Amino acid sequence: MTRALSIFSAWAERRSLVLRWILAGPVALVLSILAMTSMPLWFPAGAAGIDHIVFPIVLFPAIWAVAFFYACMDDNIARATVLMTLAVVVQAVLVAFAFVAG
Amino acid sequence: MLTLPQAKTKRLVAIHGWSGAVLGLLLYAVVLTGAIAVFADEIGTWSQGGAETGRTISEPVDRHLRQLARSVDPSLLEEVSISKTATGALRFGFHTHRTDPESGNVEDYTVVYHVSPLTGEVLSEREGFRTEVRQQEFGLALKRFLVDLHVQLYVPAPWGLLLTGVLGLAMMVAGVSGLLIHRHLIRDIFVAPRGDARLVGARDRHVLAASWGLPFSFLLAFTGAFFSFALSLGLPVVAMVAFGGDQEALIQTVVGQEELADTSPSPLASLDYIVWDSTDRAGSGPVSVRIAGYGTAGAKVTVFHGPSGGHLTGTRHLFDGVTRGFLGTKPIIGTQPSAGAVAVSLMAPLHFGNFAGLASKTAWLALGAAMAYVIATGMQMWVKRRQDVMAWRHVGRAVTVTIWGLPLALLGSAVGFFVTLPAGDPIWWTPASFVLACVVLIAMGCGRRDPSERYCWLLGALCLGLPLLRHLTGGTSWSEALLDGQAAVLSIDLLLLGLGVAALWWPRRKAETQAWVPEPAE
Repeated sequence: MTRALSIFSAWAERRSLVLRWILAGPVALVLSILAMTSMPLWFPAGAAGIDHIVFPIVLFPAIWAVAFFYACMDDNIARATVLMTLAVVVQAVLVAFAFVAG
Repeated sequence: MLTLPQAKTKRLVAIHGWSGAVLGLLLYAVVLTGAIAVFADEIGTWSQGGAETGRTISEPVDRHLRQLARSVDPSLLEEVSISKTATGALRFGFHTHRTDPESGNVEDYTVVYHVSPLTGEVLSEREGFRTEVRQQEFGLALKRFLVDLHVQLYVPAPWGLLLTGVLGLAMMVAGVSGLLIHRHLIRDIFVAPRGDARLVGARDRHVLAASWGLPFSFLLAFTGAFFSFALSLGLPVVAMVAFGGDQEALIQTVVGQEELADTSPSPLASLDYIVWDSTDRAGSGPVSVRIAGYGTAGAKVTVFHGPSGGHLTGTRHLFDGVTRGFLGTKPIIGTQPSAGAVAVSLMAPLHFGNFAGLASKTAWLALGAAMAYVIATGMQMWVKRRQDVMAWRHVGRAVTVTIWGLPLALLGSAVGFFVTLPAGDPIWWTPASFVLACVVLIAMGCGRRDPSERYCWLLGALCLGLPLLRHLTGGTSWSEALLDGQAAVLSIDLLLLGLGVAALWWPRRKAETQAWVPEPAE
């Protein structure tokens, strides 16, 4: 496991520029859209029953900005790749589950 | 003082520069038109003339409403809206929903009356689908063109909104990266620009304007991206998950509209009393009134008030349309107060700067103009550093043409509007004049090494000529404006004349300064 991680880390470091472009570009965008899509499933609806609809839309630019700057600023590109991929997968599973459940 | 490792600073400098270089020209267009659009209502008043008496409803409306309601098709009483136009007329809109044979979609079908508040005379009547009615409102052509250009760069929906949303995100990136690479943020707020034509001088001015406008740029970018993405991306995506793709159901929930409880016939209570009661509660007159289910026992009247008494946002009061009883204060979205409603209600005043009248609007205009200046100087520095490369020299010329050309083309669209308003079709000619002006200005820019001096002369001539053209084509004269207390007409004319004089004086001053300060090798 440790050996696999160090191999992945070395591979990511060699391709850090390309990976950073991918993470800050398409991955940050997909992550923020998926976050906006999945938030209504877990965000509290609030007293008026609208907070879970409104806050994902209001926070979308902020979510994208956090994802973009994280991808640009984390020195450990392997960690950034793993964390952002994990976030995309978790959100995608949530959204897929919502569609399957109807 | 912010200190980052060298590698991160280098990365941020690249992000800051490229975000501006790639999208800077479009961003400049959105920011400059946005700064001007802060005064869109005033520009609407200035461009179409008339006797403005304030945008709040202070006159009796009940009698006019009942007369008009008797004459319209009963199906159009589904919803009634009342507001004031930029020229001070009362605007009564009777709405229903019908299937548009052209698009096949169910759309808002409306008949709109403009009524003199003093005599009750019907000044104009327009009927059709919402887009058709908009096409007939010639007097609003200039204002709407300006707002459309800012909101979606005249690109068809939803692509225009997505484009301006991306530009909002780019502005956030440029602002945040600019903040992080600032080594001396506080000191830079008070930096004194050096020299005139030198690169360090340009950098000083860029940093000075950017330091002052930094929080504002973030605010504008965030709220602007929200407005662009909310309709084009947010609502469809959230509706897909939360409402199975039914956007209508989502809007009903968010807006907080309820089905009419009782549709049996019943006369509407005195609307003048309801308006008076609501004004008394809010402390200021309403900007609009909406009646759902006119003439039914379930009628509800919503009265909208603008911000007043030091509040950042306006208020909405809900009344029973039959008993005229006060039902409560209605949040901007939803049926009861919530954190989401507060968040959304803050977006508009923070983006439009209309929460404290003229003072906040002027501040928003100035800060917006400063941001446009930051983008322009940033792009100029970017290309100046790369002027050894032929391709970047061409980009540099495109930057000069855009920086000068956009305000000139906007003035060109105003010329087209005024010339065609008396007899032509300003809805078509206003954007057409803008495009025509762009073509002429690009041709002018291609023919000279540095066209900025010629552009400056043209800017001066157009600014000085526009008030005269407005007057010659039937616009409100200064004496009429003074008598009617129309501050917008006088203020915009005087602003244009001042800008015109400054634009004619500036090339002479620049020539004198350059004669004294030789260009150093930087």
